[in-house]
Amino acid sequence: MNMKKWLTITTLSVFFVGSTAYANENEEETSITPEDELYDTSLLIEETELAFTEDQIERALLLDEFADDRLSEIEVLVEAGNLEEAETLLEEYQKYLDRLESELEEKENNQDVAEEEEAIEEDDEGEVPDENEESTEEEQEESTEDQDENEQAEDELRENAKQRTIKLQALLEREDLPEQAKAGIAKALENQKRAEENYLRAKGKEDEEGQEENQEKEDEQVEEVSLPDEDEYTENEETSEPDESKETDQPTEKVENKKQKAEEKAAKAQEKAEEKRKKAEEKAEEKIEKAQKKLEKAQEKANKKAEKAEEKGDKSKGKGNNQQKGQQR
Amino acid sequence: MKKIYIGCFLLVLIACGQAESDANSVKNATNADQDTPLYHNELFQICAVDGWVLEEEISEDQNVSFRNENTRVIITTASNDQSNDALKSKILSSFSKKVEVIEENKNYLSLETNRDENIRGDLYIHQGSNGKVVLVFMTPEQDYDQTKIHTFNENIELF
Repeated sequence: MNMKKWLTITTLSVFFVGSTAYANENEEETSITPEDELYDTSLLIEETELAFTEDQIERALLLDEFADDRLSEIEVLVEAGNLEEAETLLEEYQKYLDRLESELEEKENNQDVAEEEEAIEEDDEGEVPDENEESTEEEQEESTEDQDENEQAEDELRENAKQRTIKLQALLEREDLPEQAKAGIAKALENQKRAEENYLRAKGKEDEEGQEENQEKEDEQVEEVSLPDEDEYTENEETSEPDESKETDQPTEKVENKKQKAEEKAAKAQEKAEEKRKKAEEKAEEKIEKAQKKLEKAQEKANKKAEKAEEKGDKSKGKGNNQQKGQQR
Repeated sequence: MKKIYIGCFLLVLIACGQAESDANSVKNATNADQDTPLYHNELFQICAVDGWVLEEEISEDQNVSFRNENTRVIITTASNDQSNDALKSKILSSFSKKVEVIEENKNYLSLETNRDENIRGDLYIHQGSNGKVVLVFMTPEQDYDQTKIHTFNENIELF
């Protein structure tokens, strides 16, 4: 029995070792290194894919992926001792990060413009209620789907950025690298951190938008007359801040950086909170005005109805009297 | 009177001869246009194809690209040492991670990226006397036109 077991284990292990070796051979064949004659073609293919992609978040994801590829290539070159090539690739890597950053900035700007336009549209629609309720619901559903996709994409971007930071730090800690190469890596790390901050800023902005939407929904439910409590906003802020601070609680290596980030975040959160308050107050005032107008209209309508009812009552009474008079005659 | 007839006859003859020579010169010009290749180098030549224009040439790396509306083709050369399978794998890995292979045979590979905005890729490998010529066509999915790609691929001549 023991012999049989040993035989099966050895055959299985031989099979697994063989298959992994085969997989590795394939990997060696498929991956393109900067020394490969098809390397420039692969860059052209990447650029073409970018050129044919219009959606900014998709473009950002592509740039992120290509930056990952460059970093992997840098690692391979460093391992092979080809430091000159690695340094030129580091410059290329930084260019990808810059492009990624500008893509995200552009996306944020476009989002701001779109939100402003939406807000104006909503205000216009608000004056003529009930007509476009179905279409606005559909729009809301679409926008929530888009938001989910954006959130997923930004989570992916943030996670990839973290991984790249770890890789760059590992490269920086290598003792066999010359100072020039280390300086290049340090610069790349700085850029990487800046990009990470941008992701966090974008994320914070989305969170803020989400909170605003939730508040708007709550307001709509309460609707008509009641003024939303400012306490709610402060509570939300208080609850949101610890969440962000939770995110910043990370391994001990990057404590200083995280402290800085946390401080920046807190400052940003305060600014956002102030902006939110102002917006909320403005919205609340607008809603009160609208509600008052509605009430006035409703009262006018009720008065008119009452008048009409009275008129009808008078008429019917008049008719009844006439009929009685006729019968008496 | 005779002189006038002869003069008119000669004029008609000259005019007809001139018209014929004009027509011939137009014919020759169009033939010359058709014969002029869109591009040529030491390894291959691309005959003029409707709608296709030279976009970019990087002579040092032997990469050249052409464009027809939203279809781009990158033509590159590779040594005979590289197998077709290795070339296909390398080109496939050059696309973004989310790629699906649609069709594959010895000298051809069709693929599509699986993203929000999909891109179709067609890869043709031609064997020349001094090396391999690889054509990588890329088109946004909604603009994909196979005949356009086939026509271009059929108009490559290898030396």
